[in-house]
Amino acid sequence: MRDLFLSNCEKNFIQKIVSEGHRLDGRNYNESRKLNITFGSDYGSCIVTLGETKVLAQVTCEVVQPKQIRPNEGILYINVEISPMAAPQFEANRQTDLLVYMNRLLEKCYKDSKCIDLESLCIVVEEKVWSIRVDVKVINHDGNLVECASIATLSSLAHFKRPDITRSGDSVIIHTLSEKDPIPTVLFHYPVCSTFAIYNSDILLSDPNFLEESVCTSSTEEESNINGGLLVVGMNQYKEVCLLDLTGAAIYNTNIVHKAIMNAADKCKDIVDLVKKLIASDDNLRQKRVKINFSDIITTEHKMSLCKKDLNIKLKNYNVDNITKIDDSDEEMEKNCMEISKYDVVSAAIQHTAEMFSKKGGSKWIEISSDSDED
Amino acid sequence: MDVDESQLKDFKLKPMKCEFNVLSKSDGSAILSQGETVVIVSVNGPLDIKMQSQSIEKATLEVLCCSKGGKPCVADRYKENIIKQTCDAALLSNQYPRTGITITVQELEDCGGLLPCSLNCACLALINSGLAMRCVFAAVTCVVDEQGDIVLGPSKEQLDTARAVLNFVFDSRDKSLMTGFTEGSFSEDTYKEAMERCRVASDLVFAFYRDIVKQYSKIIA
Repeated sequence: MRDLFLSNCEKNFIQKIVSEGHRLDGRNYNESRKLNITFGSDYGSCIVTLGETKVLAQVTCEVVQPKQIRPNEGILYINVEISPMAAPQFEANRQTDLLVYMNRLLEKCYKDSKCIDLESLCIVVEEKVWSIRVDVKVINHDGNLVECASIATLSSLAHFKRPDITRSGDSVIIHTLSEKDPIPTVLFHYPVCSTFAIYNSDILLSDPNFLEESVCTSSTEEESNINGGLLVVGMNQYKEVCLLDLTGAAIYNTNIVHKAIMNAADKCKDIVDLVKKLIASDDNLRQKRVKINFSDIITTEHKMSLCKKDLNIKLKNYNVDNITKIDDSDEEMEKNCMEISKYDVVSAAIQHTAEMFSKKGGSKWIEISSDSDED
Repeated sequence: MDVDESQLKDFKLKPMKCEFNVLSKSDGSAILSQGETVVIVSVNGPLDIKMQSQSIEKATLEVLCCSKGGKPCVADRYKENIIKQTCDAALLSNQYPRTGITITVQELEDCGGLLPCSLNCACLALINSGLAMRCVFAAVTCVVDEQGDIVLGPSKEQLDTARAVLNFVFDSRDKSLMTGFTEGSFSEDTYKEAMERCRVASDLVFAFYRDIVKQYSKIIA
């Protein structure tokens, strides 16, 4: 299937509300979506959910011959896959720009920042080393893939344990998990990427969703969009920058990068703390022989998805809870309310995001116009 | 078939858990766990596809199986083939000429019985996507153990030590066999007996489908 294109009015609307200080889902500029990390039954498998974006990561290891130039170092290999499961526009087994871009960013963030102790992966110099392979699979693409994939890579690497080995003379024995306790991977530091969408060359949106991402990188009708772009900052828990990547526009002032780094520093620290905490509690559970399985992510929360979960839009004065109250006041409203209940309508704490008018004359359309819209 | 009636009643399958609409970007999606095996399936379609793969009579079905880690291998292609043939028979694809339907299967946990679980999950995802179907289908596994007994819904250990593994897929209308695939050696009588038992056990799977759809359709209506 061909790529999805956004209409001009969609782009203009997003541009406009962002410049007025709002986001479509009611978040602040610096707010991220809900982050959730679940581990599977194997070591080094996890699913990371960021809002609706879902990424699966699995770490596997095998014994291989080391590279000629680095005979005493193990190998880290990162592989990203985007199947049609992520979104219908992707084709199976095809190298897209997005795929290459993500692969490179993750390699920069985890391989080139030297966060893994590759020398500890050596078994016999020049003969046998562990090769660690991280498979990152995008399950659902709703924007900010880089951040979600980087959290998934980090959590799976930190969660992973490789089998223990014994060397006796020339032979190497690899013990199974039941024979000897496996060894965790040594991480010197924990880098995490965070994405910022740049709007009008001075507004930074953290954790942009699919719509915000595509609007800020695409061009509008009159002028080509020279002011928007995506900025990826990779930082570790010590607030050191590991990666900086800009797609889209040129930046006029350095302040914006500085601002992004300041924002990312706190955010990355929080994420790393969360990852560490979850891995510790997961380890505890495993020691108590509690079975951990991905089937735990099956919930009943999507039962309501057909009525409200699909679209997350926050409107000014409307709340799911007070819909029933409006119902008895106005018959005309009732029709509209039925329509509204399709969306997750939550009253936004911030001021006017968008307003709704109920039209007389049986029109079922919901008119959404922003406050300062004069025409 | 002279299969003991009391034996037929005495079975249980692994506990199943399912959730619809797990993925926001797909037209239909489902996650299913059967015991400890977990699979997620997304269905997209009918979609616009390349001219050369279009068919003027029916929709082109494409199935993609992804394992959790490691490189894609021949085993994945085998699974794709079985899922494709089964879904092709169940879908009313002549309703959607010149279009494509993609089914993507992602393994999350494999503790035995991955293929039957994928088939059942694919069926649930198809139900969720709202594509027209001739019938729904249920896959049931059984093994012939060392003693020659037939065990339904085997565990991982049973699968590893089994003399033969038999998988059957039945349709919902007259419980006729849609797909069958086996591993190992067994006699013709064992095959027939295993098929009869699985046919009866498929009722449980259909009841589970009905249950899930009922839960969700109550909210749709």
